[in-house]
Amino acid sequence: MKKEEILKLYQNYRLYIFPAVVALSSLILIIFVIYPQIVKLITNQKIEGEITNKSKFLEVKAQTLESYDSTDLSQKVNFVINSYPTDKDFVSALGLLQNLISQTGFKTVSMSLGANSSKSDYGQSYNIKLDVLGPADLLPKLLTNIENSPRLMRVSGVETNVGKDPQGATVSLNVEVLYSPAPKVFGSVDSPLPSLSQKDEEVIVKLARTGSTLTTPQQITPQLGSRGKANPFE
Amino acid sequence: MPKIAIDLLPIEFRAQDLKNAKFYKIQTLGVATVLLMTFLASLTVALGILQSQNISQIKNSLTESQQKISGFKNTESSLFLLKNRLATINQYLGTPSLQSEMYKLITKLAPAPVSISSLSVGKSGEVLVLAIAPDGNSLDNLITNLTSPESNENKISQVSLENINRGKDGIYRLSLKVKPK
Repeated sequence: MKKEEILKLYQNYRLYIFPAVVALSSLILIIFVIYPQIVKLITNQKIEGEITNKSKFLEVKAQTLESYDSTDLSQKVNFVINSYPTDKDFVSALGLLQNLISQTGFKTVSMSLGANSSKSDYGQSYNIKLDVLGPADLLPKLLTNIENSPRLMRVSGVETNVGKDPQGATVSLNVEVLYSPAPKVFGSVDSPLPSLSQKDEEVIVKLARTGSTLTTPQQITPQLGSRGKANPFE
Repeated sequence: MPKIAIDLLPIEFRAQDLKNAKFYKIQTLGVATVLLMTFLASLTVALGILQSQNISQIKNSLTESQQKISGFKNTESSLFLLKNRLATINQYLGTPSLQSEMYKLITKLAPAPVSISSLSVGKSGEVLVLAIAPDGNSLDNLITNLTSPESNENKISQVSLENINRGKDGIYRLSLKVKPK
């Protein structure tokens, strides 16, 4: 087809050809540029919002973490670990119980450990059976002292036998000593930071105040009484 | 005197003029549409570029914060451990167990003349009491105290008198089973 013929054809049908070309080019722009860009803008807007929120959250988290005094925090961790350890602490629990018993005015007759740790109502715990002698009217105080002690313990059984002398009641106590393995997951970068409530702080202060009564193995040795020679091979 | 307008041009010329005028209108509209579309396309592309730059800036600050937080991993772990332990400590520290509560309640409810010779609180909180009452009145008081919701603080669901006998000395020896609520 010659150029003149094309021009003639355009001249004849330009009223239809021109709008068609305009419509087609507009359509192409809309389909291939404007629409995808608008969709991308809307999607990115959402993503931008999410990232901005996350960034703000992480900034606040970083600032909060920065504000913590690591020494103070590790001290607090020590207090709570002493109170609710990650493993069985037979020696310190026995020592503490013996202290509480003598402080309340009772005498320890025997102490025995439960066969195995169990998953009780309180989570993981091990059982200590105590046989003590003392005034029956002081037993409520002993029970309170055990359950208020800095080491987390629960009384799961009480048995008293009062003879003619009420000052010499035979008491048998079952004490559940609570412990729990450390959590395996300590949060991720994105996880919200746990905050310590007023009550938590009060409990830590209480544990710190009473924590000094926790008996160390060295402290309980003389109380248990020495048996046999210091060096059996001498 | 009225002027007379005579159009001497052939009718094809008139039709052609009308056709041209219509085309120019369409042409103007078409050019405007194309320009508008091009402007819109450029605008969306420009906005997209600006947005991408903004997102990459936020991503950078996000990475910085993440790195900062990673530096405080120990502090974060300590806090998690602290909170994990405190949840249980708060729950139990200073809160009396059912067994200790039942023991204290029974000893509190026993009137002075009644002497408890044996008291046993089991795992479920059920209490077995062996008591000695010197007379009927004190025995009545004991039973009333144990069964009345006002005096037992609504903590006792059932009191069963397992055994009772009256000796020659007039003293009552009884065994009770008390169930907590």
